[in-house]
Amino acid sequence: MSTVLLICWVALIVVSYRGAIYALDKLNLL
Amino acid sequence: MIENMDPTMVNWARAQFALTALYHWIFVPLTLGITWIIAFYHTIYVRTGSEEWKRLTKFWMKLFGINFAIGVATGIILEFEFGTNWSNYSWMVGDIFGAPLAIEGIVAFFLEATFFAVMFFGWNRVSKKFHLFSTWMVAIGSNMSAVWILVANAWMQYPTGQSFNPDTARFEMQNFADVALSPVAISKFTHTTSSSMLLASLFIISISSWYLLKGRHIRMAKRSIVVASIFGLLASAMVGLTGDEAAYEVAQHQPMKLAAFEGLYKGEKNAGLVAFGMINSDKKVGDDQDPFHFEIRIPGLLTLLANRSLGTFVPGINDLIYGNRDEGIMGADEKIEKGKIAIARLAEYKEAKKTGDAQGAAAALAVFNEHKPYLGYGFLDKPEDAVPPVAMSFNAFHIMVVLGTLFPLVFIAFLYFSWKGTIQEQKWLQVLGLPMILLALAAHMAGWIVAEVGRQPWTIQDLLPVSVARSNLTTGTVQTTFFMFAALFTILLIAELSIMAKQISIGPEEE
Repeated sequence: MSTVLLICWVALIVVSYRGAIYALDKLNLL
Repeated sequence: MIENMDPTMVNWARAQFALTALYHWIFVPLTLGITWIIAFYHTIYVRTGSEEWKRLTKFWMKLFGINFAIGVATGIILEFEFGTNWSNYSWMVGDIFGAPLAIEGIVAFFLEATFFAVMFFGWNRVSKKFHLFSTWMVAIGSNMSAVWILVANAWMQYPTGQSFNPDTARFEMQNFADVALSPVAISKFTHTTSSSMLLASLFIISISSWYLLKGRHIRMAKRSIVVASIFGLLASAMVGLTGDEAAYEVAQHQPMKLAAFEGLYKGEKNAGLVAFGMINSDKKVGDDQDPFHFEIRIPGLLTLLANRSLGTFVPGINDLIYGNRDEGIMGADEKIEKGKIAIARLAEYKEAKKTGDAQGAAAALAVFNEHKPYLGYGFLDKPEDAVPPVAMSFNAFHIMVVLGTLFPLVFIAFLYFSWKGTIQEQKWLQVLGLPMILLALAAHMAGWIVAEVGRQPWTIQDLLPVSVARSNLTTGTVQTTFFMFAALFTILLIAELSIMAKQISIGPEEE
């Protein structure tokens, strides 16, 4: 479970980053 | 020596540590979370070259800088308190506890502080790419700081990778990897840092809501809200996942703490989780009062949370204090007896060593080793002393969980109206957004109360009670420093809030 949590933690930063760029682009705020 | 100590001193020392830790925690989660978001803003600026993104990045960086300084000031005092008020603790476990604290200072904090200077003062002084690299290093460095501090705290909750040396009466590290990679440490790190990202997102939403209400810096506020809502929503999901793991680890290693979270006095199979309830703060272990004035339980959910299976037993406070033969649980009463034997044999062993009685020393050591796991219990006067403050643990745990469930709804609302393009018209939502940073701080404070109050009476779970861990100081000296720190921290907090309020009212500055 510890390994899963650490993978999820890295994914949280990567997916937040990608998701925020996608949303800003869609809303013409980039 | 321990018997002659002033018993109220330990309560003042605990109060002083709580005061310092909770003040420290006003500033730390914002640092841990907002650095990732600032690194994102800075990356967008470097990628687009837009002056608007540069102003936005510098604005949030400035607020972070104000916050960072006071976080450091309170953190240093916190570390000194281990020496001043908890010198027996430092003596007995310093070999283990000191290692992660030293790594935090020498590796993580130095990394963070060095790059902080480049990040803050590097505009137009270093290349854009190196400047951006520095910003990311501040985010990584501050979160690495958290790793080592939380490894140290996790070891207090689950003291693995150590053994007690009867010759020195100190705990010594046997396996560094067991300490650094314990499941409690990893669940603590991921839970704390993801909830810090959640708090930082709400900080940005609170300030951006204020700008929208005032009709100022509209485009910056909209951008900030979109980014914070996405970071915050994903962090909320992570907080839920890691919170579940944290509760499971507590159930495995600190069953008394879990029972206190839920006001569970009588253990049961398929124990329910209290969804809503008012705990009876007058209830004592062993009396016949009802633990709750009223409560609504979700059947079976506590068993599922604690054991990840249905139909299994979750021990209550009474089971852990007086034992439960049917479930194979040894009570604190029996552990205290064994602990007192361990203490007596340890004294015999030392005396025999001193007089050169090798045979007597070996015999005493053999009995000591048999009873060693219960050594900490030998310092408790009565079984009921092993119960933490139940009402405080219960209330803090449920405040944390309720707020943690509310926050994702806030992020969804902000994201929905941003997506529809009507966020500027939703005055009700902007007003709702204003106090969110305060609620996030309340959830964080409740989380630390859950972790630390729930562990009482231990500094090191089952090994070292607070009554033994303290320094031999008079109550008066600890009271004096308590009020001194309370005044100092309050002045620092007022200074920070007034500087931050001024910067927020100025807003992003033109170049």
